[in-house]
Amino acid sequence: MERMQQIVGRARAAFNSGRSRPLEFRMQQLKALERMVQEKEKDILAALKADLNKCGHNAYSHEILGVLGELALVMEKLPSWAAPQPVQKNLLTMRDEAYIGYEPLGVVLVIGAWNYPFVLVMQPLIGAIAAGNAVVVKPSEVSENTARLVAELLPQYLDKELYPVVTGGVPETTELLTQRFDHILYTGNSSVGKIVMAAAAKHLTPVTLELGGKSPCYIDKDCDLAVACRRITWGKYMNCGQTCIAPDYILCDPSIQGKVVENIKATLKEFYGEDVKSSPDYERIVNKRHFMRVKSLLEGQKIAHGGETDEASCFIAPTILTDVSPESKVMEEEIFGPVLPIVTVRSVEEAIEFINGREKPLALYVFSNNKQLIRRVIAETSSGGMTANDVIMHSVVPDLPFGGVGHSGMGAYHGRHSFETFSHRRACLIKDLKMEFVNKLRYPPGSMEMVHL
Amino acid sequence: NPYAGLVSHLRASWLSGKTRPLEYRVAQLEALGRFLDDKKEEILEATELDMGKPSFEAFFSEILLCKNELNVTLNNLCHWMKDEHVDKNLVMQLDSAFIRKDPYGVVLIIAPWNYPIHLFLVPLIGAIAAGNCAIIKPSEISKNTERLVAETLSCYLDNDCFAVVTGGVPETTRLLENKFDYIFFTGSPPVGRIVMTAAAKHLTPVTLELGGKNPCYVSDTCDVTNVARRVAWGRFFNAGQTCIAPDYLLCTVEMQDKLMPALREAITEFFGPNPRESPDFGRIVSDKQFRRIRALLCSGRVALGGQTDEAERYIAPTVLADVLPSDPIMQEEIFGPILPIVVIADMDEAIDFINARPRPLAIYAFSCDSKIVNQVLERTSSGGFCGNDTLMHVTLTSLPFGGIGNSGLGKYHGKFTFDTFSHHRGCLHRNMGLETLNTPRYPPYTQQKLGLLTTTFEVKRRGTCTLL
Repeated sequence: MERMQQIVGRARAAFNSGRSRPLEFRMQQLKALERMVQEKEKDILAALKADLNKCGHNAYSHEILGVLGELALVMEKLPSWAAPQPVQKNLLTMRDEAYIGYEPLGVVLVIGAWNYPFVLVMQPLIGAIAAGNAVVVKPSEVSENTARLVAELLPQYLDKELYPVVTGGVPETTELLTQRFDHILYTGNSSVGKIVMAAAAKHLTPVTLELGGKSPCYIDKDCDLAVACRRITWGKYMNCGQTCIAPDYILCDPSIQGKVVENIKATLKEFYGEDVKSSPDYERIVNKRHFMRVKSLLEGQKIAHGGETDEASCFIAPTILTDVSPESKVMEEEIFGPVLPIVTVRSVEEAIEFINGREKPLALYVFSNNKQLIRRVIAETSSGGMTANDVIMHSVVPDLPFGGVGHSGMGAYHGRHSFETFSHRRACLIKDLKMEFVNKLRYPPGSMEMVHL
Repeated sequence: NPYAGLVSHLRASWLSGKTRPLEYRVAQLEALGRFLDDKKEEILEATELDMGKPSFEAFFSEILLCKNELNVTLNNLCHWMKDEHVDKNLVMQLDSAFIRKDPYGVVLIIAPWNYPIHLFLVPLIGAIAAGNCAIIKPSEISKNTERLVAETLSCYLDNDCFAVVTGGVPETTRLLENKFDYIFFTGSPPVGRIVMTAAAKHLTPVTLELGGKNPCYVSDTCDVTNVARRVAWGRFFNAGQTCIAPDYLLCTVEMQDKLMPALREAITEFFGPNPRESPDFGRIVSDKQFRRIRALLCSGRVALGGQTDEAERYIAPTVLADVLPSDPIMQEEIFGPILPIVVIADMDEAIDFINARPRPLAIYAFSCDSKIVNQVLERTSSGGFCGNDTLMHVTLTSLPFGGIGNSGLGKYHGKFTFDTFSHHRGCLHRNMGLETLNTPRYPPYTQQKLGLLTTTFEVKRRGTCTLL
């Protein structure tokens, strides 16, 4: 308790000193982060490999490239984002100054997740620093190598008091959550999301919760199946299915189910070769607990492809399940593994109804040549974000807000949206002490004629 | 669960999709406008019965400001609803990337008693504009207005999609057990915590418009007459029962001496020699509030006013001088027609005083020297700020209205209300062709592929060489 209080207290004192506010300071810290990522690239990739068996290509493109891109974007745009925004005035305020000022919130807490352990602490951190806050960083203990590395590296490059790293598991996080923060950004699952929000409620702390869910993927009969299946295969099996916006399950007409399976199988061979286990590009499940969890979802299912597992290396082969029943276990919780169930539906109406009968997902995917159908699916469903005719990609458009809705979360970040999430937009009206005659209209004694007009 | 039926009825209406078309939303908003027009007299009467609200004030805050919000929304809704297209990178030039404004579903609006129409209606405007269904829970303390709203609003709005729920704490607690897709609460910080805790159980996002003690700093260089008028107006409006009222004044002892006669003059100008007889001065809403506020009078010394009448729940426009930070009146939000003056030595001390306390909903600073006003602004933090006046920043619909820290989270007014009640959904509509562009991202991975990926996806700093 003492330790957390001290760490947060020091961060708060550092914030109160005012040094995180000037733009020059923020840019300097962001530049230092950029240097850190460039100089320590090898160490970061090694940690990701140790934690998730992430190969260099994936680790670089998913985690490092994204971070460098975000840093470049933020450093370029920060002066314009941080500038006061004048607003439209009315007759009474014509001669006044009216604007929205962007101010830091104070001390922000960033809680990361284990599946993309580097980018999921770095990207929020970048936004929080850019907005002028102090930031307490709590990487996931499950991806312990990355957590240790982040704890080592950040103090070497950043202001030690303003941006402390706290490591540990559930007990440490629970303790941390008793402290007062001015914003909490949490990435993880819905159950813990509720705990975080309840803890935040005690201090009236605003939260951004990046949670999860089962992201549906509807494949229309009218579409280029080969292309669709290639894109889906890529998004589903990267990081061994452990991606919050992976297409969780497929909805399609029974008449194309067979073709979908064939196409995915062909793509898998193209991607990982005959023997997936020996492909350097295929990852592993993060730990035994998740391995057992995902494996148990296969029980009683019709395995159209894959199904092989190896506990010793936490390996689960890319797997496809067909004719899956909506009531089965694999359709209950977010899979977060390389298992792709196909649920058949006879029409897009049925697909929409199916999707709307469940919790709002983080992402939604639809593949079709028919623009009207796509527009319809978008209009009649709700999800955090969505991509049509591809998967994952909406999350890499820098100007799109990335976040959930309903059970999949609240709030959003990435790029400008991070800056706004971590800023207070303060309404400012600066009037003149003269021109009092204008004010006389509003003072009592009131004009009753005006009221009864 | 007594409200489960109601909530699921609204949810079914929501799922039917009827609240989504622009025409539907416009029709409901126009109906709200008719409610304000038709029921104007009843609203003035009800608020007068509830807290002696002067007709002029009621017209201004409950009718005029609400109609402004309605008109801003009706004028701009079509534009606000449009998908917002965003910049794309090189690889996505043939794709469509946009932010869609999706309604949340069934929202809950909990309103307080002090501006009982305004504080449910303005959020409701945004909720309807954004395409949601809504349950409105007006305050039971302003019981005449509560009855008016419960009995008449249903004659104007679609009852399948909008409902009014009445009751007190027990009813609100039961209501909060249900799952809503958004909760908008205006009230006190302790209840705000309860609402947010209840919302957490369902992962329901919230906006909390709370309160606090709004400081008002008056520098030595200022036009005392105008300052006194503007501060008195803001303090005594609605008999002080305004979340953004200047709660206490900070100034030097010299300024306190200069302000006193000016304040006396302003009060007399506004309310006559006996404010109790003025039709323009309100009353306290309840006996409980009256007794609470009266107890705060034993702070500092009564320099102006101080008279009370329990039968009428009347507390005179009062100014207390030489108030100490430890006095009772400095321990809670006053929410009554009493202005304590706390003497400080200079602006720095005033800023330190403000920063040592929870962040308020509003901060006011008065000075002829704009540098002083800006110093106070820059060195403090609050929901909103107004220099050289009180209250007025919330009448501009282009400014966001909300708190920070203990004074709240989220914001509304104008487009901000629409945005509050919409989920901003990031959408990317890609081309099924040009599959070769995707090759660099697929396994088997090669250094060449990585190089290609880096080039096409990297955001380069300006001034460096960009390929392609």
